Amino acid sequence: MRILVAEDDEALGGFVRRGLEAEHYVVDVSCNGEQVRSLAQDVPYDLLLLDLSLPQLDGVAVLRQVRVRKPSLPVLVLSARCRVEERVQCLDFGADDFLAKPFAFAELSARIRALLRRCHTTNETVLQVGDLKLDRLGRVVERAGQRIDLTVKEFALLEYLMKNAGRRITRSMIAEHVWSLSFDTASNLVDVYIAYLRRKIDCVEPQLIHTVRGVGYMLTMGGRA
Amino acid sequence: MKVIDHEDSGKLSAPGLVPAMLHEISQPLTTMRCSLEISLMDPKDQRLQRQSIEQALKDTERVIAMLEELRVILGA
Repeated sequence: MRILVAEDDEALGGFVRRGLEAEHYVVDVSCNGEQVRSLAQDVPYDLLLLDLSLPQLDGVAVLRQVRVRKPSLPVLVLSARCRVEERVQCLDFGADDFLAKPFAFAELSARIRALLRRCHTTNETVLQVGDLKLDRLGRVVERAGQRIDLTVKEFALLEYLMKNAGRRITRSMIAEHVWSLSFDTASNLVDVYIAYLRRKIDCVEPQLIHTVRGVGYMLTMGGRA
Repeated sequence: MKVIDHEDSGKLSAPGLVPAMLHEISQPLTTMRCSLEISLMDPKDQRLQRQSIEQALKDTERVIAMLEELRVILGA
């Protein structure tokens, strides 16, 4: 699951990123309203955490503009503006939930899980390819009924491959999605993590992660990539 | 800016001051609370714990500075 955190306080954005990454989410942080609007409209995020006090474009304006292009993107508004009329305005402009500052990280995390549960059907939250199963919300991976422990990045990589099962995925797509990095910076990381995943996932037959020569990788039940 | 009388003390404060202060004080408290909570999620990560403590100190200073401003405004 990929989350965009829009927070003008860099320190808070950084800590929220650490906390959410520890819970297996892929996280991008932006402290600029214009950039948030553009990212939220162009990148397939699963959820937007939106602080209202953003420079360049206010959070409420971001919310209104994002809603036009992404009517079903779950949006959780974070704000120290906690008057009833402000909450009502945000909800009327399309926010799905509102959390007042100072919030506890545990509550933020629980509200994210609740929103994702509400916005995704079981088909979308549990990915399955053959005997490999990944529960995106429960963050559990099993192959042939055996639970497999994955690190945060291994989980994010496998989730991305399974969401795109049967499709050829380039190394740069993986680098950008899982690490939010350019291919030049992350090309070695991608290959290293694919090797880690293969050791854990493909230690039984049939092999699911296939190398697509000159392109990248594909996860599929069929042997041919 | 016109001010509002405080019934008991006779001191003065700007209209909207309390909501503005609440808003301002919420930010460092959120950062402090989240950073400390998140540092407890991985007790082995000493670097993260140090960052959280340093952040908590910075945020404490911000809150103290706001309280000082409030004292000056209220003449307390």
